[in-house]
Amino acid sequence: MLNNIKYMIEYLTCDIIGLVKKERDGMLFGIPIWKIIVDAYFVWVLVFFLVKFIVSNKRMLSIAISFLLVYILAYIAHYFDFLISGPILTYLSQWLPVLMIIIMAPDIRRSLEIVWKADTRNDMLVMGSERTKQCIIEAALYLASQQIGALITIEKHNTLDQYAERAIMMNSEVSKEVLINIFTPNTPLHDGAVIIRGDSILCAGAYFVLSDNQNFDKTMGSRHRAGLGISEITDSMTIIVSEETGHISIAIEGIMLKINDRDKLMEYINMFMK
Amino acid sequence: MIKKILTLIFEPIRAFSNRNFAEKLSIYYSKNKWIAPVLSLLITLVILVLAYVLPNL
Repeated sequence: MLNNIKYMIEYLTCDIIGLVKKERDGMLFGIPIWKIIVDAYFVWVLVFFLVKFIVSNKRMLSIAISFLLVYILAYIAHYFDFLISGPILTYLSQWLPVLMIIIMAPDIRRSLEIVWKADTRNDMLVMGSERTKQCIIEAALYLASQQIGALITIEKHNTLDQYAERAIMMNSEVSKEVLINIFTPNTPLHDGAVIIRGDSILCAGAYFVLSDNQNFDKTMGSRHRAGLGISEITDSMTIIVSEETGHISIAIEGIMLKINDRDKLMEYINMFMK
Repeated sequence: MIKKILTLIFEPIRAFSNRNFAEKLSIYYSKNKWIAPVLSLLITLVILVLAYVLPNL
């Protein structure tokens, strides 16, 4: 078996080298080399976009894997010329791209958004000062003690401009009082998230894409899902205060942690904002 | 082990989906961003070989 593979590789290599030697200068397989290079570059760009497009969304990836399974089965059935499953699987594989567009329309839109925007990095990164950290912690603890729901997202490298654009812009200095005021029920800005960039509150009332992570409790509220959702697609950290229980949680890198005391919250914020 | 084999025989699609490949791949990709350009390069090379080399052999 190994010898066969070795022989095949040697045969192919000799063939290719032979072909290349026969070609005139600047030509490969009768085609100008520059054309092949440009063609390869274009193909790479398209494939790169497609790979990023598929892997940026878990649901998309899961569908792509099941489609791949169908294509493999169709190939096997076609190769061995199976009488019944062959035509069925071939027919199915021909209709899969159309099915995918119909079923996955919202996810395709979301993936396209992520492909274009998620990697935009803020190189001029300035994290908040010690005072900002204290204000965020004080506000979160106060809101938790009063059982007022809150969603505070701290931006890092991945810009959150796309969410801020649709929210109410503030550009104000972070302070405990302002944060408490924003989340006070029945006020115009209390619904949605606050985005903090450096030492300032960028906006309030921002809406994030909800996480569809199946590993978390199905009863988890939309505020927690929103916090988890933004942590899955960006490198931000979100502090979530539950309206029902008054518990504080933080969401970072797609993980949600329940915070029991001030010291632990301080520790996580310090680690994130250093 | 026997249960896994039985699932694989009677419900191959379920056995395949139970492995949570999408979840694992997605986590791996989020931790290793370099995988996308490298994978694309490999796929491109395969396409180039199929398009240029094989028809000329």
